[in-house]
Amino acid sequence: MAVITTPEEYLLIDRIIAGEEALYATLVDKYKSYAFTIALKVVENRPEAEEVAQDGFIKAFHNLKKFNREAKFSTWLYRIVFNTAISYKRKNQLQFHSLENSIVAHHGDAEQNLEKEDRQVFIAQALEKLSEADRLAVHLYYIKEYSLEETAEILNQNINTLKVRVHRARQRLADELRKILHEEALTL
Amino acid sequence: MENLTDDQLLDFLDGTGHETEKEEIKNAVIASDVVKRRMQALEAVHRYLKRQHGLESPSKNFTEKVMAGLHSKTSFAFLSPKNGLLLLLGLMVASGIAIPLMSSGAFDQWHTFFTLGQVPIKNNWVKLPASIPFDLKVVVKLFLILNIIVGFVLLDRTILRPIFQKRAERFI
Repeated sequence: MAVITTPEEYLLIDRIIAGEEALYATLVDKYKSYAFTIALKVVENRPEAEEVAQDGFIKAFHNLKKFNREAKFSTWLYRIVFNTAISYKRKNQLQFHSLENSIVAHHGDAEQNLEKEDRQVFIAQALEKLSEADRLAVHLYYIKEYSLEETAEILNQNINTLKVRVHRARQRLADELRKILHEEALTL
Repeated sequence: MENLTDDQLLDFLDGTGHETEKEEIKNAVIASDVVKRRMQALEAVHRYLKRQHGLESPSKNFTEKVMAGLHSKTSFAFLSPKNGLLLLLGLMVASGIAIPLMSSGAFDQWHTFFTLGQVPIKNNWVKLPASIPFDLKVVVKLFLILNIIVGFVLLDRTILRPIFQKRAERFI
């Protein structure tokens, strides 16, 4: 796909607002993966994440006139997707998705070593024990697609808060791992 | 050396620490088993998280679904299916109470006349009747008809339409 610069993107947005709605597909194509990944990290279920990401794009389309161009379009869009995902998750709080469906199932085939798998399960379990805010901070930080500043903006958090969250979350995961493995040699 | 904080070790793993600090950490890991074990645990977590976080791809027809949905989500935005169902249940309960009461004749004696003889309008164009009849049974009947209409609208907009819309979107 051709790279669209920010001024070109603004021009595209102007044309969409003016009525050329079909052009919105260009923006959807460009940002769908990251939007879907954000939604997936929040709702932890692929079909639901797809629905949430689609809703986010639709909301963004209907609010395109309100986009004031102070931030990048992508940051504004991801914030909408993130908020949509959070509201969706709150509405469906009672639904429980097992660990097997989210993390382990996607990566289980790739690992040959049972011991390594066990340790991955330990970390995955420890990850589940983190607060939602800490877990999301870690997830988005590790996608590495965006800078810490932009990730903080998407999450509507102060950059220092985000950094502390990510550090604290990783410390907790490491502590949990040390506890489980009784500080035996770690060779993941 | 063992005074190194986890933050410093994590900065080292992220590649954001200072050069002098990096050397200090490398030496500390070689010299101290405690630091080494702390570093190994943090590194295990770091590597695990790194492996987990590539960008995920949505379904192939994601864009088409979004484009198709741009103008299809016009149902009652303020009413979720759950709230719609609750409101519908409320209407059914109200109707369920009103119908037996009406058929048992509870509203039959509630009719009266509003006398308009005292209203001070003096002209030849407006001719007011001397009184207006008021019958509670008629009011309850109107209420029931209105309930049925609102009930059908709610059923359609907040429950059936979203269900069929979702189903249709799945097959796009």
